[in-house]
Amino acid sequence: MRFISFLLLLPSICHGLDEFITKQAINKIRYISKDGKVTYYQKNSGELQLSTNYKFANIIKGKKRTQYLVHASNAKKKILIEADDSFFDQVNILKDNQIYVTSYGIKSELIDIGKGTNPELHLQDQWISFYQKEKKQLIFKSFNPSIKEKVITLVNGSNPFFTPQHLMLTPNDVLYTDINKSGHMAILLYSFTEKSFKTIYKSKNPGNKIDLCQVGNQLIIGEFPVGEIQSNSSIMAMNIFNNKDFKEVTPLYSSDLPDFGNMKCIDNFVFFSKTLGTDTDLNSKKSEIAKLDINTSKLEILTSEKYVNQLIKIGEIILASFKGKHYILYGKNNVLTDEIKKDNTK
Amino acid sequence: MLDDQKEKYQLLINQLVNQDFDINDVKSLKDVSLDPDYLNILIQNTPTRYMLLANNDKCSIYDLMNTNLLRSPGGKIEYVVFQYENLKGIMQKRLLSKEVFLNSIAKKQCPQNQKFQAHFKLKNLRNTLKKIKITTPDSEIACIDNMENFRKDLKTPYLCNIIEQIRGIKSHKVKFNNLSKTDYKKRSILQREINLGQSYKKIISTMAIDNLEGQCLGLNNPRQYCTDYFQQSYWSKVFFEQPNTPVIKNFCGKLSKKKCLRELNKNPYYCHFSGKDFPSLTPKPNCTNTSRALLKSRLFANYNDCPANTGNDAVTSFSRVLNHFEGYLETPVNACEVNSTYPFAKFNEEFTDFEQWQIQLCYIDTLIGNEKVCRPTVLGNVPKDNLSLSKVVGKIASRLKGYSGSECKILNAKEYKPSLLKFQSGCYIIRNEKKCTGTNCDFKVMLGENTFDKFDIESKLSFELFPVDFINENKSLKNLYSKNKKKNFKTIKNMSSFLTVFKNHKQAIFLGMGCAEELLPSFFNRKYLNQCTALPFIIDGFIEKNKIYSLVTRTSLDQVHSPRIIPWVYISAAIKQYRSLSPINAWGFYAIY
Repeated sequence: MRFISFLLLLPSICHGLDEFITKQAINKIRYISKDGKVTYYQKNSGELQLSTNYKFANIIKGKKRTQYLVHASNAKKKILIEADDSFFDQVNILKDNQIYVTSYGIKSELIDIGKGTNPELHLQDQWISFYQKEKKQLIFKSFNPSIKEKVITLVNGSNPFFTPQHLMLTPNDVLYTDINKSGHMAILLYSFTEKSFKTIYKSKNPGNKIDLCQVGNQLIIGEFPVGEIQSNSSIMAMNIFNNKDFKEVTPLYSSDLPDFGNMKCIDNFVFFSKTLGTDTDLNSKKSEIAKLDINTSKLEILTSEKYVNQLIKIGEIILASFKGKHYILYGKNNVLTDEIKKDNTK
Repeated sequence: MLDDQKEKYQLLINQLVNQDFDINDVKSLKDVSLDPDYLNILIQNTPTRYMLLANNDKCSIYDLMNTNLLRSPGGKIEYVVFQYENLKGIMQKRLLSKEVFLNSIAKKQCPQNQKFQAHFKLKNLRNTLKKIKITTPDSEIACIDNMENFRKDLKTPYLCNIIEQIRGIKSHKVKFNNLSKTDYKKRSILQREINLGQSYKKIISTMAIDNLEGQCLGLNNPRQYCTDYFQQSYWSKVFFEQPNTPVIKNFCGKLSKKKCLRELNKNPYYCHFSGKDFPSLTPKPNCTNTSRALLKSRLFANYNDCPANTGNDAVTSFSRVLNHFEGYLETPVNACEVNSTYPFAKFNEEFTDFEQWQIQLCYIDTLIGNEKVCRPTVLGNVPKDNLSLSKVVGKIASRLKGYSGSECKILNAKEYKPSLLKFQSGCYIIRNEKKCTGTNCDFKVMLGENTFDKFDIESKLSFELFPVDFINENKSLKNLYSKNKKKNFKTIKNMSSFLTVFKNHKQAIFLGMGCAEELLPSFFNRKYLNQCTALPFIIDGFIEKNKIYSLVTRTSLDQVHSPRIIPWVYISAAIKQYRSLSPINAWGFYAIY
């Protein structure tokens, strides 16, 4: 198939996007708040440092060249840290890293959560979940020590390198993705109290991937083809509560082309990488970032760079990276605003 | 437009049909030429692939006319419209039936055509074909050369006519069956066409028909024809030439070869989840793309590996380099992960005294004062090699328990049946298959009916594929390999330097390190700022279209027989992103030769 020519007619919107500019070198930053006042950054010496209000503190001192991933939820009570102390000398995608948690924006006690990867905070930062690749287990832990840790073992009989998505609806109900032997991915609801599973969505084709995110009481589900299975892409909304057997699904978007997806949700919008043309000879896709309004299903293409396929959500900002720079797709970049606000309480 | 042509053509014929033609009024027979308007209509009605054959020499157009490849709006040509200068010096336009024109004018202009044509008459065809060599190309380049020669060959219109006649059998039969039985004339013409096609079919072999059909249809796009030819025939080629090759074992598993070949050729999706005995990233590329990539590939791959079981992604990729250039893997072994770990361990044994292969079985040797002794081990069975787990355990059992054998037999837990007599003596290593990779393994040893556990497994695999600082750069695998095996590592930053090395060094392959989020964006979703999943990869081929390139890439998560076709833009972005995390800002993509 030839590339769809209307790509060329799109205005060069990227030039209208603000570049995400930071005071420190961006490749060292691991988390930055919307106002730029809370920054976690790492050093080659193995330290993860916190910079806030013109002060800095060591959060953790690991082995030289330790690589950190840092994540905060919207609640901003806690900060999650995944530390890979053998990033350069033990290259193994199935390796579990050390996971820590500490308070957001201040230096406080660092809690060692355990070995795993892909950690998430849930329910106003009262819970943490992460995946242990070696054991193929999802762990759900409450920060309340009286609540016992919960474990779900995945079936995944198809892709040994699969990492599930996971989110908590209530302290007793979780959603996660898994793959069956035939390669179909599904979203499963597990109740810890009833110890029962329910499949709430199953991919249409084997090998398709499912992206998940939660917007209020709605679950946004994206189904995208992986690799070279030529099938449709779609995004839909599902009410999490008051939806018997999860049969009510509202279609929001569909395309005949295989999108990369890599969805991120914020407010009432879904951002994802949309394919505008494919070239089967070169096995390539021309892809741009699209913004989908959940209420109106209106779709807007935000970039015009041809090969944009990844998005990052940091707090209330959505970024896309291309040509070595980060651009703001949603949220305001106040990072470089150095003025000190007047304290009106005095 | 075609209707318009038909009208124009009919008008031209009608204008001339009643005009007399006297051959004695022609000033010079050799200057008679086809009328430009008439020729223009024929050009527009003749498939482009055959019009290309008209350029070979001035007589070629008559070959096309003779073989019915030149078409009028109504199909076969009945009349020829031509122009000439009469004895009074006036240009004239006239019309003759095709047969008369060819015999009276074309024959005089191109006497050789007539002789040539005789060779392809049905009665002579069998003998003629014996003298024609129909070659099967063995590479895409050879195929393009063949096609160029085929286009220039004066025999080509005659061969393609035969193919068209055979191709027409089916449609002629349909038309024949739809005709009224009283339409004798049309029925008789169609029957003659069908008979001719079937006669040709009896004379020419099916393989030759297939080859000629492809060549005739691909005349106007030889490159595409050759790409398709190899794409479609790769699996057949492998089945024919190397039926027991590891690639067949990987894709076919327990399927019969016939059934498997049909799946591989007809069902592109079959490859997405095939090869379950060799776990790797799924979905794999479809069969069409796998075939395309393998045809462009030069990496030695006469073995099966299983990236999910290796236990270290850099070992998977670096072993592929070793297996390509060195002879560590003389005989591939059954345990697929060992095909990756064994060459790596042997390289370390040879050049680093196992500094980077710290996988060993350790025991306290009571015979030498309770000293801790460690033996480097490959966690699998490698016949006759002292690194083999079977040998190492045998030696320890012999030293500590007086076991008389030289090695122990490795079994998976399911295979060990202690109640059977044969298991009540001898030495058995029983692997917990679910907890074993090439770099760590849970197993127990049975000496007869007793457990033998006077040893520990120590597994620490720590090394840098590419340098990450200047002090220890000579300890990186890249530098160790380059120094000890005298290999060139040339940094590749763009496609032009890639192509130069690729074309000048026929054995060269390319080793790189990038972020999976850029390399395989469908599989890896970036969640955090500066998140990078380090992923080594090997490149050993390319596909070009309008100066844009995609490369034949095996990431360390992909099975060795399932390369992916990845655009260079993704690859360069992956290398760039990984470099941004490198303490020495190193560009991790090298040609090795």
